[in-house]
Amino acid sequence: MTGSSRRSRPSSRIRSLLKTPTAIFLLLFSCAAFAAQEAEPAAQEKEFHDPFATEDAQEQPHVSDPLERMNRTFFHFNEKFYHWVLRPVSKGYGTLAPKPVRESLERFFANVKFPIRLVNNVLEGRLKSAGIETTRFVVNTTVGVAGLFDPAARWNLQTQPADFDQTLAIYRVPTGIYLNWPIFGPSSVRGTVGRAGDVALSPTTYLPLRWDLGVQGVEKTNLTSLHSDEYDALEEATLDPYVALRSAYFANRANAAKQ
Amino acid sequence: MKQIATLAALLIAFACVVRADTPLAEVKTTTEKVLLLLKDSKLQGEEKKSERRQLVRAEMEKRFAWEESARACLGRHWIKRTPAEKAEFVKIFSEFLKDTYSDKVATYYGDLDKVDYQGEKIQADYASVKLVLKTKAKIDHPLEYRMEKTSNDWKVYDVVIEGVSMVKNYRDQFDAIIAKSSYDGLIKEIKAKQPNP
Repeated sequence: MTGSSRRSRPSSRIRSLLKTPTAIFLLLFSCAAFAAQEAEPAAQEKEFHDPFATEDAQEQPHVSDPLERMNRTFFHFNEKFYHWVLRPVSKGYGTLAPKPVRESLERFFANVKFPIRLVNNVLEGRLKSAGIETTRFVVNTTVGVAGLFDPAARWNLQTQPADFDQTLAIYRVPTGIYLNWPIFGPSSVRGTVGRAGDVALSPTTYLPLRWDLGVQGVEKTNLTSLHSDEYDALEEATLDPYVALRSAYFANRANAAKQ
Repeated sequence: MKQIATLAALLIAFACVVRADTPLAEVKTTTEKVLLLLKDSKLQGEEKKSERRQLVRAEMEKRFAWEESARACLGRHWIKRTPAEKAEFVKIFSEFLKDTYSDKVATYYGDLDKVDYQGEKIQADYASVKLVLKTKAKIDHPLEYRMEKTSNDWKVYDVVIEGVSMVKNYRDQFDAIIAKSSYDGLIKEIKAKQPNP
């Protein structure tokens, strides 16, 4: 029916159709109908039809990585840095500081970064989220002892993540090429600008440089000590960890902008 | 009149036979079973770890279509392979996925406080089920299961964590590896990852 007639139209027509939401729905629907028709005779032969992946593809930009050689070099540097420095240091630190202490410290750092979430939630027009963040900051800084604890979460006030890269994404700024920075890891041109914006809003930036670097070192070590299992699992589960991380980075950022 | 009544009865009987649970209900059943296993007092402690893991895996195996996942991961390269290559690929890669992801999901479920089932979206024979895993440390992990309808139930072929789809991620890796070396090169790399070659 509609499926077969739509299918026979030239692809340029389909491309222009893609611009309207109804058309996307119709197209998906006709694709599904097409897949169902074809399924009987050649069930094993058809390419796996994945309607939700098609939706993702419309939201996620094509990954552009012209600097792959440089990026891979930095990626390998980061791998070595993780295995030779970050992981051993954070393991040692982990044996000294019990897990609840490290978790408290992670909450403290997150609480300090409140201005990033407040400003970006406002820029994104999410005033309710900005309100929740403000309440969380007041409650957790006082009742939660300088942010070491998170009593606000118990009152169903969850953190409302927002950062400048997300704001730029919502303003439809394209990601630009992929950049894998030493130490900082996966990013893009937009992600780098976003990070600079976040740094400008982070209170620790305004400490004397030596203090700021110290704080960042502690934060990174603390974070690694809590999440090194996840990083190890990533290495185990991937065949090309560089591509896996790049793909995950763009998927995750597209998702953050959608929420 | 009698004929209509018989027809109605037949229709109802038929509807009862073909009625399968909704994708969300299926995910919920499996999740609750896995959570019960992880909390079972008879299965606690380090010495019971392998037994516990075995039971969790068996439960997940009923809900996951690892072969379909493997096929989806190969994406556009699937049609180009011979039947023998397809069979080999599905065999080795579905094993790899099962090994890496069963334990990962079990670990994910390990320190859960509760699970919020957010809803389901069905498109013909495919469905997306969204949940939020709430940890004891009050951190939310959004999780999405993508499922395909089989003859009698719904099975998971993709797991999406914080927007990152397992299938899409492998598909990108495979594309890159095949572009850089070859399909045989990819098979070699997967085999090198197997715990007992």
